[in-house]
Amino acid sequence: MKKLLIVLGVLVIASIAFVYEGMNAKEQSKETAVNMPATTLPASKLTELQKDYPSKNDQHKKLGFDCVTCHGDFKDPKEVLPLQKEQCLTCHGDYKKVAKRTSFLDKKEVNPHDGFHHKDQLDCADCHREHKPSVNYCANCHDTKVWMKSTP
Amino acid sequence: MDRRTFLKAGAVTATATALSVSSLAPFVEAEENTDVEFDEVFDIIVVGSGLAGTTSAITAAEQGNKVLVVDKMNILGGTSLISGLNFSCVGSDEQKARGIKDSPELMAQDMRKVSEDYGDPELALTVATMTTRFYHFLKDRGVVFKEFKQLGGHSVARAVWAGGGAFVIRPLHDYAKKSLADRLTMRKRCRVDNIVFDNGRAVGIQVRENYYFNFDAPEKDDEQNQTGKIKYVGARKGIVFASGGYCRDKKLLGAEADILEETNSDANPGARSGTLQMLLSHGAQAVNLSLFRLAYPIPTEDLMWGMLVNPEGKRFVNEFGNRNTIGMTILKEKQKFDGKAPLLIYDQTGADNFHDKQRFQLSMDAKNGYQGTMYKFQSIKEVAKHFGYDPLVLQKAVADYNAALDSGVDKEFSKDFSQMNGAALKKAPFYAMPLTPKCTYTPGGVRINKAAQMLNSTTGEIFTGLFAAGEATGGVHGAMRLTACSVPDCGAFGLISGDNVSAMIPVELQVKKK
Ligand SMILES: Cc1cc2nc3c(=O)[nH]c(=O)nc-3n(C[C@H](O)[C@H](O)[C@H](O)COP(=O)(O)OP(=O)(O)OC[C@H]3O[C@@H](n4cnc5c(N)ncnc54)[C@H](O)[C@@H]3O)c2cc1C
Repeated sequence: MKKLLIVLGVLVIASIAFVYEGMNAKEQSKETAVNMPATTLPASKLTELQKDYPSKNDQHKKLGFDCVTCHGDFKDPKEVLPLQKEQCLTCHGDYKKVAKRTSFLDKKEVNPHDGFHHKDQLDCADCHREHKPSVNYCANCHDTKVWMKSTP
Repeated sequence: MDRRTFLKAGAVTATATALSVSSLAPFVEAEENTDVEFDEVFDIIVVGSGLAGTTSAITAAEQGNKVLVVDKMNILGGTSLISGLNFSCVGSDEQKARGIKDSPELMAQDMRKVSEDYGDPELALTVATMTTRFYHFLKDRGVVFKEFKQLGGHSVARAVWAGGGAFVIRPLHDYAKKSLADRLTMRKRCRVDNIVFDNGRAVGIQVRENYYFNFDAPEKDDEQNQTGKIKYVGARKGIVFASGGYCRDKKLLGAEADILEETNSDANPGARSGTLQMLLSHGAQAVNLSLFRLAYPIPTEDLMWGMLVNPEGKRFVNEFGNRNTIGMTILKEKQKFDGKAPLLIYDQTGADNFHDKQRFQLSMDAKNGYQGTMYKFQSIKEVAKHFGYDPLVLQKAVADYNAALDSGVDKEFSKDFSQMNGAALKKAPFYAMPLTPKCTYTPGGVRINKAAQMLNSTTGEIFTGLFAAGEATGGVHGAMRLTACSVPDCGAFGLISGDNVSAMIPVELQVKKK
């Protein structure tokens, strides 16, 4: 059992590279090297957890993400917290880059990634949810349907 | 309960909570309890990262104290960050440049005029007296005022504006990060659940770190949110509650006045009453909780250029009235029609008459808050179609209104038609929006004295080590609150609480051994 765990650990430590496409067609696709975090969780447990907490993000699913890809290693799933922006940005570049992808909303000062009120304070997961339908955080206070479509 | 027993009771409660981590711990008598152990200890803890809390924390840190600011939300800044933060100020450079004569007494008098004699006049005067110092506090720490305004209810022009809350809060937070990094820590997603008392003195707080506010069911957040990890943080000198108002708490608003459940609010989604209830459980005094301040996406003063009709196409109020009277009438009308808001319609002349064109434009751009969007139409028929009215009904309402305007007398609601400056419903295009009053401010809260010390409801005496500032407090404004007067309130009691908590004699507190 112990040996198996170690092997598994080595396997997931190996870096993977993947490609993702932005919303702005003009943007060049870039390869991002991501270090997969090590885990002591057995593969069977990870599969089980993925059933309990399925992803709603097709792109992430295609890339074969499991729990630890995003959340890092953990022992008890109850300890797992929603992601902070820094964690998402390890793959998605920086806030400025994300803001550029939605820069068509700049004109009316309603680009959520460079918000009039919040600038770069919001966590990605405040809108984009992995395990639940995404929401529009701005809609807590605004009639956002006039500005933009539903959140991916 | 006399003071001694209250203090004892307070200490017992705190001891019990502080020890609840190891629930097997024996019950400790209050007087003997001097060994509460904390995960961390600071000189001063400030609850809330809005304007009042930020001001208090910076003031205390500049006096050399180690300060912790906690906020339960996902971001820092509270309602202040998303507010207009227009600031009524006596003695600004802008006033001086224009030779405007003003005084704290005059400002306090203006504030009291709309107070309906609720609240404490002494607190209002304290606010007005502190405005000059607060103005320089802000300017010296990077806030730039872009506009100077004469606002409704003020006998002289005295409002300065930095461009919105972000242009006040962001510079202050940046300044704290840059210049006070060694002394001032700001922590988001950290909710204060309780106060730790030791021999009657507030010496710390029980918090939950990694608190995730429940945006999916905000109305249940206070009662049901179980997220976060409990920690105890000590405060050698004291704790300032700058925890904001409860505009979004329909349960409390509705309990105070049934119709307030019909209001909208675009205050901080976390503007709820959980913190207030916790303070009351320790004996803090609640004052003026029934009071409220209604506002509209567009200025109250500019409602008069239009016509308000209910879903049956009938007028029901004089559009040229005070904010709360119009608001209450609309809320009652909404109750009659299952929550459906009345419709406000302008013609082009009415739109041209707006005294605040910036807010009109914001509404046209759909950037004026929840249900704050105004739409443009070429005909009344189009208006009817868009908002689900029978065109004939709406056209008749418009014709009746125009006829009344032509006659010069409003027989139904006594609107002063002589002030209309040509506004009617005649000149296309037309502009319309459903109108629901927003609750943007709660004048009630915990009672404080001039020194920002929190008062005990039973004894009338102060709590040693507990201060409060900003919208969390009650009794400063009374009914309605004058326009642009929350900022000077947050400033005044932010500065005062910062000074006075700094002046406290520190107590020795123990940090838990790891
Ligand atoms: C749309 C709008 C426009 C406005 N325009 C103006 C204006 O032009 N001029 C004016 O004077 N006033 C205006 N106001 C009112 C004014 O903005 C507020 O009254 C003021 O910002 C309140 O500041 P504060 O620091 O007291 O509270 P807030 O800024 O609300 O900060 C309180 C903070 O405490 C936190 N908190 C509460 N409980 C806890 C807890 N238990 N643990 C940890 N954190 C906690 C909250 O999350 C919040 O972030 C406006 C309000 C609104 C909604």
